[in-house]
Amino acid sequence: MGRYVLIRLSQAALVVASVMVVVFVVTRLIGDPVAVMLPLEATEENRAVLEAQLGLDRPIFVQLGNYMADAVRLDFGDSLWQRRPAIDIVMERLPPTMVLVFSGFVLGLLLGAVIGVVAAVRPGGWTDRLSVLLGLLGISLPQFWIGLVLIVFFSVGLGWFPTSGSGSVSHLVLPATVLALPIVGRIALVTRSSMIDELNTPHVKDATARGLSRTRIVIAHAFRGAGIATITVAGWELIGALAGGAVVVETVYAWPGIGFTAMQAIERHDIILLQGVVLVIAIIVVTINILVDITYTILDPRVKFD
Amino acid sequence: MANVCSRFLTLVAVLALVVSACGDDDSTSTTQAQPATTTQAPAQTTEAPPPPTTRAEATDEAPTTTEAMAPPQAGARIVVGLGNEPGSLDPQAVDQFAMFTINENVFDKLVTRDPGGQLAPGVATDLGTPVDDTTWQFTVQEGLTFHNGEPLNADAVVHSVLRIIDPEYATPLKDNLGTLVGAEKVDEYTVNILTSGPDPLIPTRMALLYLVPPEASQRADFGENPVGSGPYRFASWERGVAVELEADPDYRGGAPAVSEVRFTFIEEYGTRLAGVLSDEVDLMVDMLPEDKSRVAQSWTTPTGLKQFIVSLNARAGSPIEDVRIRQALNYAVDKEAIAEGLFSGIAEVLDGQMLNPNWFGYNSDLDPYPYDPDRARALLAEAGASDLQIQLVSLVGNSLLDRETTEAVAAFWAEVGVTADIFIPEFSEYIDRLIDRENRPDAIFVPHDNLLFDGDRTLSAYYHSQGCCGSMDPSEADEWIDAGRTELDQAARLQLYNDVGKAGHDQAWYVWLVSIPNVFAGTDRINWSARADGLIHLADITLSS
Repeated sequence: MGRYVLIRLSQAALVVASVMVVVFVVTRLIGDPVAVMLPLEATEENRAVLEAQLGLDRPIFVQLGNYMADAVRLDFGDSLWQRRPAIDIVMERLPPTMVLVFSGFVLGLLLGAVIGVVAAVRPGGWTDRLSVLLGLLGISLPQFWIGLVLIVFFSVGLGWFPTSGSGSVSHLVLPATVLALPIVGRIALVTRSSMIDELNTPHVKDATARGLSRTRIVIAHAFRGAGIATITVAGWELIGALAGGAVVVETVYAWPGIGFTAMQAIERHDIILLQGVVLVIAIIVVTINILVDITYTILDPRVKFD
Repeated sequence: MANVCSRFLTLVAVLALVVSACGDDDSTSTTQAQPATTTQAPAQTTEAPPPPTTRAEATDEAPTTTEAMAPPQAGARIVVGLGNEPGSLDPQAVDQFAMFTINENVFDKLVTRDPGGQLAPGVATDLGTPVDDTTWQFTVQEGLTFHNGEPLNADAVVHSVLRIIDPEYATPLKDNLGTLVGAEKVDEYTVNILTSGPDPLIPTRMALLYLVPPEASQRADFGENPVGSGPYRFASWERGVAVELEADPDYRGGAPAVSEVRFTFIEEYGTRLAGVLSDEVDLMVDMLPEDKSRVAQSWTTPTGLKQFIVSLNARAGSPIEDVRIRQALNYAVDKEAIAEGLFSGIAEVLDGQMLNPNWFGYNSDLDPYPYDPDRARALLAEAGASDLQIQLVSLVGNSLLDRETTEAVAAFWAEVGVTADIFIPEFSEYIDRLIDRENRPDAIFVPHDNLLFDGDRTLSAYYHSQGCCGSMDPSEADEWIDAGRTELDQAARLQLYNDVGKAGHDQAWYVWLVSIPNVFAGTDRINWSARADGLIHLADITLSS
């Protein structure tokens, strides 16, 4: 196990380093930050001055070399937009994202699992059909759109929650719900299908033959077996919520997390800040991946690292 | 069930803990990390309280702006929704409209603008006097201080000028500074602004140069804890969320009616509008004209701030070098239809020139080319260009309805037989095309703004053959623009710019489309009117009960 973790950690370091290089090269190929920072009519001379000041006039490989050398010393450069260390900005914005993603993830996981189990108990029945419909809606409704719809309905119409911002639990309700919706959908569908499989396995049929109560069979026998599939999907859902959902949801709700920051960095061509955001997200994603793999062995003794 | 659940919960808890460990040291648990408190800016720790005695002295001095101060409404607080968060609140460090919108209330300038956009004395006693070809003299009102107690005198002005022109400081606002090369103190309240040559625009330039306190502005965190001398004091900045200002009760013109203001940053348009509809946001910027009927109140700036034009390549060798073709391209476009149809009537048709009526240099004798497709067809036939095909470069997402306006122009051209291939590159490639002196595009859509409100910048950039963005061969207009740049006699300068405008109009160097104002929306408790410069003077706002 120790050796396995070591190998996974070195792989993870390689992945993160590759992500940094790719993001560095791509951000420099697709746009010029100076174009965004200066007025349309700025003179060539003033453009050149700013370019030199930002170090963007040097060849890209020199820039990349400097960036990696600084990164080793944990210096990830100053944000072009805020003129202060990019990594400070990302670390400031990380806690709000964690609060949002954690809430959305837990909500999605619990609701999804419950809906999946309910659906699997009577396959083909109305509860099953309703659950599948809800699951599909959760997956297919664009978060951007549903986010605005919830604002119009619950904030503007009913006045129950603030339209945007952060700072209290009531600010969290709508964005966490929107973030949870696709998680609910996928967890429900996966739980449902693996539960249906489990309910048809010999050991569950045996338990039925022994006269155990239906509730006990569903929860203690079938759901336990279905857990592995749910955990696998849950790991991906967490990653998806962090790296994708958070960007959309935080932008719609002006939630001051790293997703919103990524959006702001892209709009302003702040390539340094964008690199910082992607770096931190990459580290978190590989960490989650490793944790999910380790969790398998805890949940299912049949899984071995060798 | 309990077993499985506990494993689920353990997993989730482990993930959350590990992930949150990547955060800063202050947040050991994600469930405890309250965003509102963790990102709070250290608001007033570095500021000394303002000395009340000195700031109240200016009441018997000349009125500095046209703002009429209403009586303070105790505890009055408003929320202003901005679409962008500034990167810094150092008023000399960034070129972002959100920064100007906030800092216009925190900082003073030697010269300011009245609500109609005309220059008016700020903290200077008048609009300055040219002493010789390279010197303008300004006198600062006596007895003023910054919010931290530092005096606002000649030293502060000299410091502010030297700070912004320092090449090391590399301000993106350099284009506003023109010939500015220095400043020197004459006496406690008199200062000479030094230029490299005659510069009639110095009062205009001073209207964009915020005065900063010599000591506080040298601190590394000045951009996060700005200290000014305006009607509002900086209170706090919760990064990513909001900037809070509080009224200075001892402000020289009297305390503003609204005592606390929160600028929130809501980039998503629909959410910002929802904020106004639910009364959470009292005043928001950049409303789309079509939403006018949904909000309690809306305001538009009295004139446009963004000028939409299509630059036509008039250089020898261009497929549209014949002036008749360029005139035809003007006659072919129904600008009124664009103003009414696309912009719900808020846009104004440009008067056959790039300048607005309240910009210096506007030629009141010019009119738009009327919509006359028959004349356009006739001119094209005359020029032997009935099957003309040109490229039209444009951009998207930079200004309100930019792509749609470009498409409308191409559609009008198509009606007279001109095929325009619209090309919308990535923004920095668009800029490369716009400023490429060698290869001019046949036609390029440009959203132009000019915070100087003076023809010099616009004409130098677009009507001068050596300007960044013009597509014409050298002409007399070049000399007139060059002469205007150093002409201290304003009447003579106006005449020069009028001549340039006329030349450009006759040569149809552009298709002048529309001028787009800034649109604000608000709740019905706000009493206010929009200014020509598009900025929000909070001290002008009063509240209905």
